[in-house]
Amino acid sequence: MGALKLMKIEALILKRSPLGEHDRLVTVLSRDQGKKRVVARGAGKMVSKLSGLIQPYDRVQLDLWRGRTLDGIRGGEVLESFRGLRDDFKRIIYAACMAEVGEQLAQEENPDEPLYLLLLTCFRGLLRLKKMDLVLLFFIIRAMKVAGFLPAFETCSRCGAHFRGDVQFDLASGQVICLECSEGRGRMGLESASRVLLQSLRGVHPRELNTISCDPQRCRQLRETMLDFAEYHLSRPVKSRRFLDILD
Amino acid sequence: MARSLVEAKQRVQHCSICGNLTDADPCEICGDEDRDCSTICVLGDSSDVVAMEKTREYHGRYHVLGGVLSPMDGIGPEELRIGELLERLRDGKVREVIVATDPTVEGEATALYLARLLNPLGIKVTRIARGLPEGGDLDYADDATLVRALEGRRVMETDS
Repeated sequence: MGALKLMKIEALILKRSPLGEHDRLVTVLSRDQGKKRVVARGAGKMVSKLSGLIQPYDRVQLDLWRGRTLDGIRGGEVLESFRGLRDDFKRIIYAACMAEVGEQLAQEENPDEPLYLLLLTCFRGLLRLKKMDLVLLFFIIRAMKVAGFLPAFETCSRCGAHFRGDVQFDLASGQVICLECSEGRGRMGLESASRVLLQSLRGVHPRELNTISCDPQRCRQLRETMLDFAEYHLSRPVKSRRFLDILD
Repeated sequence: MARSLVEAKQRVQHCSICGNLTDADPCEICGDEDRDCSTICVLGDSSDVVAMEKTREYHGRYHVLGGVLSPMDGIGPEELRIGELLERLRDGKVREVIVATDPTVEGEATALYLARLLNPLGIKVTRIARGLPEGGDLDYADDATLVRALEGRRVMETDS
């Protein structure tokens, strides 16, 4: 019998779901190995030490054993607890929405440190800031940028003209088009103030998110537009999206 | 064996009042006049009713939601028996709703959602305590459980 192969990973817990009666299938976004699905044996039992280690949104270090199909959790430690995200209904929903988009954008065993750091920053932002809609908007814009869809908000992607008034957002390209160039489907109207807000969110440092002002109505509209943008490229609905409507 | 399975499938149903699995409608608990009707314990699954009944400490009524809210799986309030719970609370007899969903993020989301929904109705909503298991060793407890146990600490009162 060969020696048990072990490894350590640093990861954010995205999701855990039942696997059999007592085991849990845990989806994590690791810093070095991208998205991973690992098994936590016996984590469904009240006395299991692993159950506290695989709480959603926590930053953890996991000791894994190599399995034939799935790796398993042997132990580890919580590096940064995001308990505050699990104790507040609003924060649970926003964190779930980010975790779901992050999970869909990440690829299995494909290292994606920028996405990992972005999600970590946004979880911290959700804990710290009251403007959760802005944190979600920031996350989606940056996550789509990390995934290769760079939304541009400064000039018309067709004619290059600088914008003066209302514009259209093209879901397919993630570009903004002036009304003169606008034609066809898959485009959503953007008021001038909304475009300016998206533009500032694209360049802002996460620490400065609190300095950006946005009325709740505009934030909600932009949130819907950006989620449409994400869904278009993910080719699947963001399931947690309907919970945001409950909060509204 | 096969006949028993078919019979079980035919006879077992959800109680029209609490949603628990039963072979008679209403179930034994809902039909028991001696149980306290001013308290409802809300649970995720029927198996949780068995666990609660084994304690022999709770003498109120139950309400089984048939799951818990799960944003990432798209399981919302419409998929659970939350409307039926509101219906049961309408007559004003219930003074306390104890939310005893699992101590997971989904269970917590369900409890917080119910609190948001029921507090404006003037109904006391309580959540079961979380912390160390009875008879367990402290040094074997994980950090998250220990933090919960610390948060839920109580003043020790003596007779003298």
